[in-house]
Amino acid sequence: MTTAMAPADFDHRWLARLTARHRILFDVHAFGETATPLNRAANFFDTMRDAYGAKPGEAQVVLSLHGSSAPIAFNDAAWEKYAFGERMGKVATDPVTRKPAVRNIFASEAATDPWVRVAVPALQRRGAIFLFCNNVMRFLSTSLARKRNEAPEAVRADLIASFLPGVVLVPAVVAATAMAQEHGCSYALIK
Amino acid sequence: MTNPSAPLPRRDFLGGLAFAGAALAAPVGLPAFTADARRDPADWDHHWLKQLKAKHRTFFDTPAWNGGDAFGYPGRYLDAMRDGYGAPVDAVLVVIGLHGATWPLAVDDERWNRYQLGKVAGVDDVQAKARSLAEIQKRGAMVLVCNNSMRRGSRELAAAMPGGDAEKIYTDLRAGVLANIVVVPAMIAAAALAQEHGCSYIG
Repeated sequence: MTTAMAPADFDHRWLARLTARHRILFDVHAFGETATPLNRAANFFDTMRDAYGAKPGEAQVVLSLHGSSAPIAFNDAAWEKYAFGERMGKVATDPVTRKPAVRNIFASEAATDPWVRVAVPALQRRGAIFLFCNNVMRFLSTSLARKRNEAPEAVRADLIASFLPGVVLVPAVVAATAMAQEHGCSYALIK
Repeated sequence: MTNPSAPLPRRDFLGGLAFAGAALAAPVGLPAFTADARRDPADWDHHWLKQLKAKHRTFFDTPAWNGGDAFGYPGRYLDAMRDGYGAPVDAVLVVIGLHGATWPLAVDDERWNRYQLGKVAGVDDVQAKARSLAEIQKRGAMVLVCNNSMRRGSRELAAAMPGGDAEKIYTDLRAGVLANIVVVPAMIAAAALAQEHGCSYIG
């Protein structure tokens, strides 16, 4: 699979959206057993609202997703097709079937699901931006393609088409993390 | 980044080569210091802060060799800034802060072998280490090493050898710091100062 990339291959408009008075980037190295980055994002929004009086729109969270948390960026179809529930381990156990989820339970806002308050769409409505690393995409596409005996380019295209609405593919999260700070974000490491 | 450290003579970032060469030849010529010596700003080279001018500049907090990827991460940052954001090479600067387990990466092969620093740093492949450091520096990276970490490391090395003298080991290690690496009093302060001088931070 080609590794060449150019600025025009990416949508950089998320940087221009970093305008909230309080904005922070979470460098998400670990997802944990309790969906740590999602809960921490919700905590940030809650605290800025309740303790610091931030009005709606005055707080933003950017989540730079590294490898272990990457599956939360995809839709249910991709979760089923690529067995992301197995890949994420115990935290991705479906509360209904008690088996590895074959749907993205971290994007589900169904009342019966465990992460409703911190689900990806719920956080996005509060001002969260989810970034997906192109280096991770390259690794994931190659890995899944090998496992499925498919072409990496085809898997990559399928994965990109399977992003949840609003997820942004960036050249590398390490660079996006720095760029977010250049655009006024504070930095917090989650590992 | 633990205990305070003693001062050594001011060293110029780019002029360190001559200093290191002289020190290698005669490490006993270094000024004496004591464990409780007071630190003075004039004892340190702060010029690196004035060199933080690139449009895009990022500090990488690097306490672990990370299986050989300690310098791979800043390398991917440079790649992405060039290819993904179209930044000219001279518009991007990486600052790497060695502390914790990575301070041995800052010293020369002679000391590396003498004190078996591969064990301290968790580095199996010393050639890969040297190649990795040389590659990232060739791309313009500025490398800092934490004096507190070197102090602590010296004490640990001394404790592990019969009759080990932490002060002598520290003096020897300081003399072996590679010419183009800057010794800073404490990485926690350097990381903060880098951000005060416009660097983004990567933990």
